Amino acid sequence: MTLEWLINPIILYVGLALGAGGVAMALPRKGGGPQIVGALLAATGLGLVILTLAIVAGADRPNLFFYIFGAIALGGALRVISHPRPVYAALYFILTIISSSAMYLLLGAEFLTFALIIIYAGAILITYLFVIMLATQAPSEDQVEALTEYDANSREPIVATVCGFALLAVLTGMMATGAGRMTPAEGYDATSDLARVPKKIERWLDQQGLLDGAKPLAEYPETKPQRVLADGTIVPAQGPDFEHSYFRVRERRNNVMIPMAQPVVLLNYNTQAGERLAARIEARRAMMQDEPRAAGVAPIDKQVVELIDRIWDFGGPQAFGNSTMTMNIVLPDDLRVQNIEAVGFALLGEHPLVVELAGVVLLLALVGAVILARKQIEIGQDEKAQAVQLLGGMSA
Amino acid sequence: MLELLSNIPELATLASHATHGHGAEGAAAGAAEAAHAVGAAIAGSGNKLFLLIPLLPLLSMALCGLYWAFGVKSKLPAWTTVGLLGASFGLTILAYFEIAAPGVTQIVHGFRWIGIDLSPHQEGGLELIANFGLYLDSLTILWMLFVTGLATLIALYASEYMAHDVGPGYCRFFFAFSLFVFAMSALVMGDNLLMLYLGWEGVGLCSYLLIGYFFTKPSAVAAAKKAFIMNRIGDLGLAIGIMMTFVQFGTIEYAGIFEQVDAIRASGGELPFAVKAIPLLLMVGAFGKSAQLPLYTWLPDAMEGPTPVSALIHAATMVTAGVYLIARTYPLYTLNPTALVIVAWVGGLTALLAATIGMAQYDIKRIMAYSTVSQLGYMFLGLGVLSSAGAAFHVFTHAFFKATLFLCCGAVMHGFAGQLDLRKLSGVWGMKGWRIVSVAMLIGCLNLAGFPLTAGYFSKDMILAEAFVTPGFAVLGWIALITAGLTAYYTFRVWFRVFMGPGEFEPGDEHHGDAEDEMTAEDGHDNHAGHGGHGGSSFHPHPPKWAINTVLAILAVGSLAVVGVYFIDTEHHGWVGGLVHDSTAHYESPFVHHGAAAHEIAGAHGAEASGAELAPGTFLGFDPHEALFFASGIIGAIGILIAAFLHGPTGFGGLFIGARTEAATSRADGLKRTFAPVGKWAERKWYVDELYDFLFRIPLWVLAHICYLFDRFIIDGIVDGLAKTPRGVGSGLRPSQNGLLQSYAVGMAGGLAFILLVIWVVL
Amino acid sequence: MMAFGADAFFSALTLGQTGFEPMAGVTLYHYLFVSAAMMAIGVVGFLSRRNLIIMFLCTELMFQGAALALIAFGRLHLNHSGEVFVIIVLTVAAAEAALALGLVVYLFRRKETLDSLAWAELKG
Repeated sequence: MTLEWLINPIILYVGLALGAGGVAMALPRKGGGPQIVGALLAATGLGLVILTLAIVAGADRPNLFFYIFGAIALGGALRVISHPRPVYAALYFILTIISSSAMYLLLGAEFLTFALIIIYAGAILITYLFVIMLATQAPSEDQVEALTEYDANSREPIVATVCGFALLAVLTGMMATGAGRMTPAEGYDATSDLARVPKKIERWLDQQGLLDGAKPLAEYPETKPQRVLADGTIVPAQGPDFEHSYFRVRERRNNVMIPMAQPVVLLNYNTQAGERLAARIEARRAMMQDEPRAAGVAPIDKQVVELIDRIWDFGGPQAFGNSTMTMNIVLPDDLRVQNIEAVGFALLGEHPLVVELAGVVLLLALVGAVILARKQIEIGQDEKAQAVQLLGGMSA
Repeated sequence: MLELLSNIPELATLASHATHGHGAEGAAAGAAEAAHAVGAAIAGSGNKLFLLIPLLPLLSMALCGLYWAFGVKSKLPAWTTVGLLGASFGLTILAYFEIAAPGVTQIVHGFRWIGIDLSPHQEGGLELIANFGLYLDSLTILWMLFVTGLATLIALYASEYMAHDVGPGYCRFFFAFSLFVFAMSALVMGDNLLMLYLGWEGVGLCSYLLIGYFFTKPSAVAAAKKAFIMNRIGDLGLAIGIMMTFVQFGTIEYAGIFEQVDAIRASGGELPFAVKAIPLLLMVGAFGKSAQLPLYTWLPDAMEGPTPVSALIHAATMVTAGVYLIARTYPLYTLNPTALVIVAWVGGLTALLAATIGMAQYDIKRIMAYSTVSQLGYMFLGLGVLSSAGAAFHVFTHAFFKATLFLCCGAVMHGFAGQLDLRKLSGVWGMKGWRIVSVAMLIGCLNLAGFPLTAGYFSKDMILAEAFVTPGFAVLGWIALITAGLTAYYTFRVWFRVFMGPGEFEPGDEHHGDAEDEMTAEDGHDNHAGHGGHGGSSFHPHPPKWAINTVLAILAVGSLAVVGVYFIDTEHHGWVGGLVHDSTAHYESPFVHHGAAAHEIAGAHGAEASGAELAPGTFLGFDPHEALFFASGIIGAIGILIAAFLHGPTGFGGLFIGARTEAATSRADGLKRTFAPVGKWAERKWYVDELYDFLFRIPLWVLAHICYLFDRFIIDGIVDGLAKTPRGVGSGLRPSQNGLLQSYAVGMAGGLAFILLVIWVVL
Repeated sequence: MMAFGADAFFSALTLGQTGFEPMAGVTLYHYLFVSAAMMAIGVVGFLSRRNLIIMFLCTELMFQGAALALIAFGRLHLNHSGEVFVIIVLTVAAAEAALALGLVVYLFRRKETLDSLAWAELKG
């Protein structure tokens, strides 16, 4: 891109400057002010920045929904800070929340999408509305609709905008220079999550009738892992933990023969359970070939059997780890770990302390709220008079 | 058993001292040790019992302090002090028989007071050692005998004299009194110069406290400050002298110093100036403490203190500390004879000057103060002309008769409500109840005037004779002789005016305060009632009671009896001479015995020192030792006769030559009118105070004001500027601290943006 | 402007990106910009609005900006730690809402106003 110098420093900062001016104009002030002009200007500025980003991004840009929800979120945010009435600000905040959650969805965080809506829009904002109801009052009895002085006027909008947008400009500039260095994580595919959630595969195998339904495989008496050497001698196996398990999810990159999108399970013959499972699959396959319904056995998913066949035909039992006999089972495409499952595993398996901390924070908040609620405020007469005078002075 | 215990560590200390010397000097000192009489003393082998001599006064001080704290309102402090000081005196007598009589030296080790290893990484390096220990030889014992003895007697005297102040003041008085005796004991008995310094400053402090005893009286406070400050000047010299002693000799313990001095004397050779400067510096301290020119003016003013204090501290003991210092460190002076010449001249001139001032004063206590200064001048003269024995003897006799005189003055002052003006007192001899005082006063006056066959006569003659014997000092001898005449005159001027003549008096205005009535009621002195503040008509002098009378009687008899010691040990010019002879203060005058070391000393003694052998001087062709007995006797008698002629009363009391018929006038008035300016000058103390004022106070005042202005405008300007800078910056920044949450948040957000910008730009 | 062509539009409608696929660095940049802009708008609002309640709403905006960045980074690194941290953010936001709004009510009852300028006792 030959015009990078124009795009990156110039249009970016012009856009930010426009946005800043627009925000400053949009903030409430005495006599209303050019709020709509400000909003438009801000939209133009931020749009310019996003345009810049789109150009910089080239082909690898996000989909359309990102632009839609991003615009709604930022517009809502602008309205939160520019609307003079707190109730409307809170409602616009809900709009921002909802569009943010949509962006979460775009990012594949389904659990948090709904958690955000439930917690924020459902709980926190209701609290806000309660407080607005409790603590907002019109400056006088007969002017119920009138704005209070502190709602109608902002405090030094220019300074605030300069501060906030200086921060934004620095952050954006840093991102513009640093984004290229941020590369996606390597060595990860959709099967990685499956590897972390073994019960999922087990359940699927069970649903396919491949497992003995009476007894979970995990509870089969496990012999000590062994290794059969080339000359037939059997020695105790020594190796990583997966040798204790009867299967493992094969990493995609190690097996170029299998279609990329499909997870593959390797059965470990070396374990008793693996051996039984393999035998059962073998028998079922033979049954399917000879007489599908002869033995009254529940029919196996045809696609699965095909997959098994295919793999079996391809390689049969293969070397697994240290010369362990394995068998590949190709899992169906839709057998995936859902986001909520993954978050649960991440929360409980990887970051269990987070749960503790969240609990402590909430407990402390509970205690604090109780203390605040118990506090009986007795305002002396003089303080009350002072407050009345203050209010009178503000409304004047 | 005490001795046994103390031996072991002290032998080690002694051994370490031997290696502490300065190289060759130290080795030589070891060689010379055996030769010197003092070398026979074994450090720390002394009788530990003698440690009680200084410690008993300390105990007394502590007890008086406790009485003070508990508000004792009886004479308990006085009896405590008298008892403990008496015990101390008893121990001193014991020490005399154990040490001074056989002429040995003992070093008693108390405890290691200061020990600073100045080269800790070096074996046998320089180490500053100051033990709380006693160096007991005959000179020490001599001093301690009259210090503790007189202190006991004067404490007894003060028990009555201070009775009007029973209560906190009484406790305070005896507290300071005991502290003084402790400090004086430390000064005299300490076995090193630092302990001497401790005592030296201690007596200075007590002197200050006791001069300022009547601290509500501005003149007393001023006098106390004057004494303290003038002593500081001298003490500076002493302190530097002690430091230089340590630097030069590597030790401040007498034993070590004397060993090395002996070694130096034995080896001969040119001495470095630093060594020669030590006696000069020590001398400055001595001049300050003993009120010699030019630092004498504090002593007359010190008479603002209670009279027992004047008697003990400012006449008998403390002021002789300078004499003691020079006598104690006499071996050092023998290394630099110039110092002795200075000592002699300062002493002689001080004696004359003080005597001339004393002639013109009217305050009898002040006259006694000037006579003290004058007599101290004699003692310094004696030290300067190599008659340490004479000086010590004069110290000894002077202690007795001057204490007597002061206590008599005090009794008069006590009885006549603080009246000390000799123009307003007359004929005390004839008053009822004053006979003991009068007789004691007469004995004291005769001693002071050097009346033949009194102790003062013999001790003064020893000094006078040595002044004439030592070549180059004849002028000083004549000055001292004239001073003797003046002394006789002013002494008997007091006697004739106050004690002889018609019985007249005018009570002073210094009544004993509000406590007077209580005291008199308690003591049954009915005749006191109402004399305070009512003028002369209702005033009755109250003669002293048993305590004062007893003390005066003892002292008067003592003053007379002291003459006997002159005849005890004739080989060494009396008992005192014998004691000095056994001590380190002894130095063989080459002009008496034609010793081998003659030219060494004589070399520094002026222009006549050209010959290899110097003949001793003569007094008008006669042997001074004999001729001066007559000469000084005659001079003294002439002084007394002139006093009698000018101030004596008519009739028998005036030996038929006086003409005074009332207290205030005398024949001297006519004479004074004739020589009006001279008399006026003498009365105003030759304007020495004014001179000092002009020379020191006014320049200092100017300097101080310059410094004040400098401090006020430059230093304060800088300091205030430093203070105002943050204040200004603060007031500039204060609007930023407007208490508004959002303005702080602006700082936060803007600061965050700035930090991120810096990180971005830098990285 | 080709980015907004018909192909891209329809492929976007299929939500093709909901699968957990790694996200290119530049795409992350878009999300980060939105997050930073939301944060900045929150800052501006916090600094300029005088109503205590709206100030707290602005802090919630800043929280949202931070949370979006966390999710986007989690997506970049293909793990769920970002989401876990957003859970913490939500917790803190809830706690903060409870306490801060309690305090707002308390303050309102003290001075009968929500004006932040009324609280300047720390004025130097």
